[in-house]
Amino acid sequence: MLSLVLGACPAPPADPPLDTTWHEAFDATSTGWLLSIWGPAPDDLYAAGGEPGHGVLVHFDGDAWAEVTLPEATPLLSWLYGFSTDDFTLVGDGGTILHFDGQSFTAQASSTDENLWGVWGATHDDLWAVGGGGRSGDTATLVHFDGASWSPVDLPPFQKANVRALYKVWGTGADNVYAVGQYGTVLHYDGNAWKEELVGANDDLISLWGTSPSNIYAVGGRGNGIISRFDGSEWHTEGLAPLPGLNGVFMRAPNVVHVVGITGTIATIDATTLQPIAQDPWSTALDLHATFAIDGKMYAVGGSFASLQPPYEGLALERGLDAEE
Amino acid sequence: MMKRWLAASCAAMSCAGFACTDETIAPATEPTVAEGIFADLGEPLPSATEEQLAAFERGRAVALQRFSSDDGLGPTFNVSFCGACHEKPVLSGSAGRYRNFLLVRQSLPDGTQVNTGVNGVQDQYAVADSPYDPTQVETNRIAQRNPIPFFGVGLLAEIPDEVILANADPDDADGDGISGRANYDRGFVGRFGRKSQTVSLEGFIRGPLFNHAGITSNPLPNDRKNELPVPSGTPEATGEAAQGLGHAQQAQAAAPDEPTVDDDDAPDPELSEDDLFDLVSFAMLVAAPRPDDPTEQTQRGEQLFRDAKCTACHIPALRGPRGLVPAYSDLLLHDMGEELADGIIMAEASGAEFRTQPLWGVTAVAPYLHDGRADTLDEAIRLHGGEGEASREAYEALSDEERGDVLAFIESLGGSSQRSDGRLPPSEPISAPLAYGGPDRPLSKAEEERFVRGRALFDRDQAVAAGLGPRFNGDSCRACHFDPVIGGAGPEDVNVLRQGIWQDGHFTAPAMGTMAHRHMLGDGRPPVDPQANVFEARQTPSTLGLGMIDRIPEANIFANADPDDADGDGVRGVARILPDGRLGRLGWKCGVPSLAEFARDASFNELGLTLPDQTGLTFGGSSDDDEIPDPEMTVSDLEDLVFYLSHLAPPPRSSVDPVLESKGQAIFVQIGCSACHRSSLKDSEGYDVPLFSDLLLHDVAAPEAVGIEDGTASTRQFRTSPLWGLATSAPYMHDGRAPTIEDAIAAHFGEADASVDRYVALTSGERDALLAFLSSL
Repeated sequence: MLSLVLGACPAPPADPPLDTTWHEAFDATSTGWLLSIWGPAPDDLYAAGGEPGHGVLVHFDGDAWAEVTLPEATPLLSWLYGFSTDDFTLVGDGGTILHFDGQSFTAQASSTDENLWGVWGATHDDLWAVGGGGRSGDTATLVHFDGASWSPVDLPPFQKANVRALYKVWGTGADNVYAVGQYGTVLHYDGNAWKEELVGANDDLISLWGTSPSNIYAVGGRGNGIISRFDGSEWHTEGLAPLPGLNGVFMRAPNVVHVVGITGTIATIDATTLQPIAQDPWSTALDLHATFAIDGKMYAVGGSFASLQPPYEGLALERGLDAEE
Repeated sequence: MMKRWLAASCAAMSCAGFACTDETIAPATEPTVAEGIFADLGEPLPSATEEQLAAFERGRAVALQRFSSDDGLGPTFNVSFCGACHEKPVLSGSAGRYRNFLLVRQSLPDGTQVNTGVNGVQDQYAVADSPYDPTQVETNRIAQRNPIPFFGVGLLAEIPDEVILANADPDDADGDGISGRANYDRGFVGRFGRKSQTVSLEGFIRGPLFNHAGITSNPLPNDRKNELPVPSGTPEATGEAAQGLGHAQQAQAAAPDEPTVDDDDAPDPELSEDDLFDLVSFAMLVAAPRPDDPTEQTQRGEQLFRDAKCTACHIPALRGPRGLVPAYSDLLLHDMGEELADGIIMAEASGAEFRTQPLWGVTAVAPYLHDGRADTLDEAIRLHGGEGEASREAYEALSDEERGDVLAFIESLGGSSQRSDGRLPPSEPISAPLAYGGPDRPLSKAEEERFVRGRALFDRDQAVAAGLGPRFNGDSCRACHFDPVIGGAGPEDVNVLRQGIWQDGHFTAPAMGTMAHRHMLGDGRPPVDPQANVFEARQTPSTLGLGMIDRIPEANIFANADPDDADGDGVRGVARILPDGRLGRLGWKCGVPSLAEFARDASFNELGLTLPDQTGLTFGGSSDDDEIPDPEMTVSDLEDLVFYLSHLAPPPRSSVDPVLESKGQAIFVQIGCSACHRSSLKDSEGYDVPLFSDLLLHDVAAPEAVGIEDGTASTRQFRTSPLWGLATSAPYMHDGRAPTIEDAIAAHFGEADASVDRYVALTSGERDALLAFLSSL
């Protein structure tokens, strides 16, 4: 009966064809580097970054991107993660941690002076942030937020020498958290303790994402792209050369790994074979650092951060995202 | 425009799944060798513009610039200038084994490796209280590297990725036993380095500058990349700059991973953008070695080379935008077998894979192979394994004459007329008497021949087959003594390191001796005594004029000794009597009694050459642990070497402002410097030897100094260093801690305190006069 009623109705107007080609989301040339992008809704997105000594946050309200006023002297921001429009956290240089409650930003004492590169949490009172400098004298850093304060977490003794930075942290729950870092370092937290896992990666692992405890992907490589997959029981690592080094990864569908990297590298990787299934690089000398998708749109952000000198250019790209991707 | 790495993917993956419609590589049509690319080794491309030539010359100067700690050298380092590793036979070449360096890794159970040291390089020296840079404890894999020449690298940079990939056969699809696969770097086909690990010439300069010298630099900005001889900026921005030259897009100059800061006190970047630009330009503009005209022998050799399938990897030429580039390399990785494997992973290259080394100019850059293990080309061929094994066997099956033809062909690929057994150009004439590097008097014809023989021995890189090692600091005498000419002093990157055990205020020499060698044969770093807790560097003193010092009677040295400060001037002066009763007069601690003993001591302890018995001489050793029969030197060689040294003229004085210098000399005496730095000592014939030393030991160490004891010379005592040739023998002091003469004066303590105080009290004009005098010596 219902179908008859619906069938009697005039056909709804067809959706416009999905534009899956990358284009600039906005002109970020003078924004500063954009190192991270996240948002709770398609019309409530944030991209964070800046330049050495100066942090920048831009917000998309569905119509336009606009810079958000940050607390004075906010340094370069490297990553953000949150749960809702009134609960997200930013981390950055010099141990900076900012929390946004929907009204204002609050600087939180992080318990470290090291640069923080990544933040993730299972719940608003169970956050992890990671960092370090990657150079002699710097220390791989892990700090935890228990809802009240941040405190340093002792890292296990590394089998790998010279691990002086952890770059990202991500997990599927409070008892299943991973951190990745220098020289292919992977740390796993099972709810009780952090433990190093050797995954067969020589080069830095810079970011990770996944869709379940048995479908987790870490990417990196600096010069040549690498990807490491955890299938629930073991890690498997593949070199992706000639695909260049990767910085960012995001997944929505369990079988497609979206990655971005140096010199405009954008690709999708088959989650099973770990081989590129599509490559759509952006013609630029700039590097991409992060990718993120929500609903039917995917974003990639980056900039001139590899050069460490002016001009501090940013880059923000977007495209439509198929339901299967 | 399609991205280069995507194009590479297409070539490697048969374009599966990708649109490869643009940038199609046109099929080769009767390619010819590129024009305007050949020159003598070290010379610029004949096709270079005037502007490029100017950059080439500026870049060459930067490559020869010595960095000091004031300039940013360190905090750890292997070398103090680029040319240190690229000197043979000319700048842009390679170097002897004394410039070998170590790659260090931590190998892990999952087959991965972590760089230890400085980005995987083990530095020898530290700019710190202790000059020894220890090996990181986690290091469990060490591999040797011999410096790599960079002839024609700008031409190699221009070669399209697709051209290199066209020769790749990673799965040996053609079944010839030779695969060949590309290494990659940021999406481009790697082509530089022993493992083709990088595509970026800028990176190949910035990386070693940081890893080996501790010199920081910022990446070139895009506008400068586009001005390089091989334009390297973004395609859109390069525009007209690329016309007439190959265009490597951003590949050749992009080097974002190299550190831009370090932990020393010099402001970063320590190399300016302009200097980096000139240095990269210099490298890009170095010409390809000019091949010799073919002869019947080289043509026979070429055919045998092809018949042995050497050309399967040593492909005669690759096609660049200017035409064929005959480097005799496919620039691909090949598994060279277990014997050559170094176990070092570099990007996609495994521990057994190496890039096919270009053969142009190879004859002039011995020793051969990645670690310099081969003394000769014949030996290098015979060490080929893995994918090169069949060709090696084919070569070994040839007759002696045929192998000679093959070698003649390889030697004809450029550089044969510039090949030297050391650093001296072939047939280098003797400098004029009393000039730098010349004899101390006119020589007879027979004496000239002997002087040349001795000089050649001093200069010659000693082969492993001749007995070099098993541990050594230099592979020639010249390896340390080359400033400003062969026989002179040496920069701090050839300092000798001494070790000792300091406990409860007492020094103990390790059982293995105080020498901490830098090099050993095979993969590894010579171990130091596990208890050693004090290290001290020894700067290379000049040998110029040693013969004159040798001829000073002992009595004339004893005459100035005042061990108990009987005259109460605060300056003692201790004559060092050796256990056999002879007076020590040479070395930083007066530990060597004569020139002949010096030659023996250095030959054995610095080079590892065992010595024959010589009546009345006791220094050096007669046996060692290598496989070469002892003695490894002959009496005749030693006598020629000593003849050369004994007749090597002292550094000539160079007066610029005699009035000022005369005033400075008076100040020198007035403030007490001449109490130790005596202007001259009489030789056996009564002539003045103007060495500005008393050849005695003095305590001039800093109050807190803890050094190395040597016989009766305490940790704090050093011989008064002769000052002749001062201006051309920086750095100064026993450990090279003082980059300038002013720094050296300020580094005197103890018995020199009063003189330093008086120096500090001088007016600036008086100091200028003093420095003018000292610089004129």
